Amino acid sequence: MATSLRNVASLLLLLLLALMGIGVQIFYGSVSLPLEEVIKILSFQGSEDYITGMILREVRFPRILTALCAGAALGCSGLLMQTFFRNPLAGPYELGISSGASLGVALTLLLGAGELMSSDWGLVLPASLGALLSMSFVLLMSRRVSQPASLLILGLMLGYLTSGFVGMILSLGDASSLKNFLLWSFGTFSGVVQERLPILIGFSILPAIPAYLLARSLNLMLLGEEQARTMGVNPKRLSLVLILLSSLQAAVVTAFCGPVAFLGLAAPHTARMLFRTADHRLLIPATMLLGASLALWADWLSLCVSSAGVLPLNAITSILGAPFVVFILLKDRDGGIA
Amino acid sequence: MKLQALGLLAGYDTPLLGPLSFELRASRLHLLLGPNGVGKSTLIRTLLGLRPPLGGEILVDGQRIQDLSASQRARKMAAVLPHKQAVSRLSVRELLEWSRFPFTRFFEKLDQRGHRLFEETVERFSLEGFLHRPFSELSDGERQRVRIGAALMQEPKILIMDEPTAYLDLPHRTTLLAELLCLAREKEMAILLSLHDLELALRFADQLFVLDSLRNFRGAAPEELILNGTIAKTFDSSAAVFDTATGVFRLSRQSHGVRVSVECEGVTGHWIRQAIARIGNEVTENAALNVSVDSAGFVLEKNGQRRTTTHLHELLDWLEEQNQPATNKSS
Repeated sequence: MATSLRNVASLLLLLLLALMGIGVQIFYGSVSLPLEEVIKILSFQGSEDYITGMILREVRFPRILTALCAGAALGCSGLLMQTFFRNPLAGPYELGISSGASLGVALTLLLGAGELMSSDWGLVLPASLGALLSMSFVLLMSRRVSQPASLLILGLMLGYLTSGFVGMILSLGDASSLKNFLLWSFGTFSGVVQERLPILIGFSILPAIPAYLLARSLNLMLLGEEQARTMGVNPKRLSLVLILLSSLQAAVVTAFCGPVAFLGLAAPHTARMLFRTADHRLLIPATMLLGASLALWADWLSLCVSSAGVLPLNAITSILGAPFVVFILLKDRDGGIA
Repeated sequence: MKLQALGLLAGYDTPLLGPLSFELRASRLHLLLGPNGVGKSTLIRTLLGLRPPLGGEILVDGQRIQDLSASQRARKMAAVLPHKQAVSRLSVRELLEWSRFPFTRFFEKLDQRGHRLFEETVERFSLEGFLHRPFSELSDGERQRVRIGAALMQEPKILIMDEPTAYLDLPHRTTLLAELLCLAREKEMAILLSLHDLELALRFADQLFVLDSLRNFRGAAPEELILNGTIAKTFDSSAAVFDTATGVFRLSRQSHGVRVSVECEGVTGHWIRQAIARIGNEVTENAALNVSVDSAGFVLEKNGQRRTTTHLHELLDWLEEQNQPATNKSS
C-alpha cells in the first residue's frame, strides 16, 4: 500500500511539473502576453485581443503540443529500446536511430526538391525509412555484442557513418538547403505548423497504445529473451512490433523536431528511479509523462538562456544528458536496466 | 505427461549432438552431466523449443514441440535458465505474479488458482520474509529458490533447468537437489537439470544422462552407468580415477604408496581406510604395516614396533615416511 501511495504522489508531482511547464511556456516568450486575455482565451470566452490570440494559437500552443508529444514519444521509444536490448544505454539518439532518420531527411532536403518538403508527409516518410534501416542494422549487430557499452559504440559508429553520408550529400546541395538542414539538425519544438500537428500527435502518441498492450511481455523480457519465451512470450511478434513502434516514434519526432539528444535515454531512467518499479504497466505512462515534462522544461531553458530564442534545443539536452549517461555508466556496472 | 526425443539432432547451424533418443518421464529427476562446452546448454535449449531441432522430433505429450504456441508451451513446460543481468527494481512478489502470465488478464495480478499456488510456493520455499525484497539483493541460494518457485507458478508438467546449482555451495546444492526430487514425486513432474557435480548426480538422479567429451550420449540409472563403466570411461583422467566400489574419485598415484592393513570395523574403520587410500596408499589384508585403534588412539604397527597418536594426520605422516626411503633409493 505504501508503494502505491508513493506512486500516486509521484504521478501527481509529474502532472504538476507538466502543467507548470505548460503554464510557463504560455507566458514566457519574446512577447509577454497579458494574463487577463490569456485566461479569457483559455476559458473559451473569446478575446478582442487579436494579437494575443494569434500568438497563442499559432506559436505557443503548437510549440507546447510539439514538446509534449516529442518528449512523450522519445521517452516511450527509449524505454522500449532499453527493454528490448536489455541495455541501460539504449535510446533513439544513442543507438543512431535518429542519425538514420537524419540521413533520410538530408536526402529529402537536399536532393528531393521543394515539393516533397511542402507536403505534410515530406519528411516523415524518409525519416521513418532511415530510422527503420538503422534500427534493423543495430538489431542485427546487437546479437553479436555482449557488453552494454558495445551497443552504444555501435550506435555512435552508425552516427558517424550516417553523418559522413550526410556530409557528402550536403556538399552537393545549395546554400539555402544547407541552411535548412543545419537549422533542422539543431533541434527545435517550434518548427511544426498547426496543420501538421495531427500527424505529429498521431505518430508519436498512437504507437504507445500497442506498446502498452505488450507491457506484460516487456516485463518478462527483463528476465532475458529465452527465459521470457519459456514463460509464454512470443518473441518474434514482440520484436517486430517493438522495432516498428520505437522506430516510428523516433522517426516522426526527428522529422519534425530534428535529432533531439538524450531525452529518450534519460526519461525512462528517471521514471524507474522515481517509481522504483520495473513494471511496464506503470513505466510506460510514467516515462511518457516524464519525457513530456523534460521536453517542455528543456525547451523553456533554451528560450531563457538566449534572449533571441535561437539557442538550439540540442545544446540544452546534451549539456544535461551527457553527464547523465556517464552517471549511468558508472553506477550500473552490471548493465542492469531495471 | 512426458517429453520424448526421437532421433534428435541438436546444434546451432550444424548438428553438434545426436541422433539422441530418450524420454523425460513424470515424477522422475533426470540429471544431465558432461564437461563444459560439450553442448549441454544447446541440448536444453532445443528441448525447450528455444531453438529448432536440426533433425528428429521432440514430442511433448505426443505433440511436436514446434506445433505448440509459446503460451501452450508455457502451460506445459517451465524453465530456469542462467541469467546474468540483475533486475534490481523487481520484487520477489512481482516475479512470482508475472510468472502467471499465460493464465492472467492484463491488469489481473493473480487468477484464483494463482493465489493458491502463490501461497503454496511461498510456504514451500519459506519466502514469506522477502516477498518485498528486490530480486537482485538476494543471495545466490535464495535467488535460485525464488526462480524455481516462479517456475512452479506455471504449474509445469515438465521442468527444465540449465545448471541451477552453478553458483551454490555444496550444502545448498544438496538441499536444492533433495527439494527437486521431492517436487518431482509430489507434483508428478518430469524434471531435467544439467550440473557439474558427478557425486551429487549419482546420489540423486533417477535417470542420469552422460555426454562425454566426444559427445557420446548415454542415459540410464546412475548405478547402471557405474556398472557398465560409462562413468569411469567418461570422467577418468590421468590425475584421478573413478573408484567403482566406493563411487568416488581417487588420485591415481598408487605406485608411490605402501600397503597397509586396517584392523578396525564400523564407521571409524571406513574413514581410516578412506584417509589411507586418499594419500595414495593401498589398503589390503595382512600387510607389513598395520593400523588399529585402541583407547590411546590410532596405532601403527611395523615389525612389532608400535607408535600411537590421537591425530589421524600424524598417522598419515608416518605412512608418508614409510614411503620416503623407497623414493630416495630410486632417485
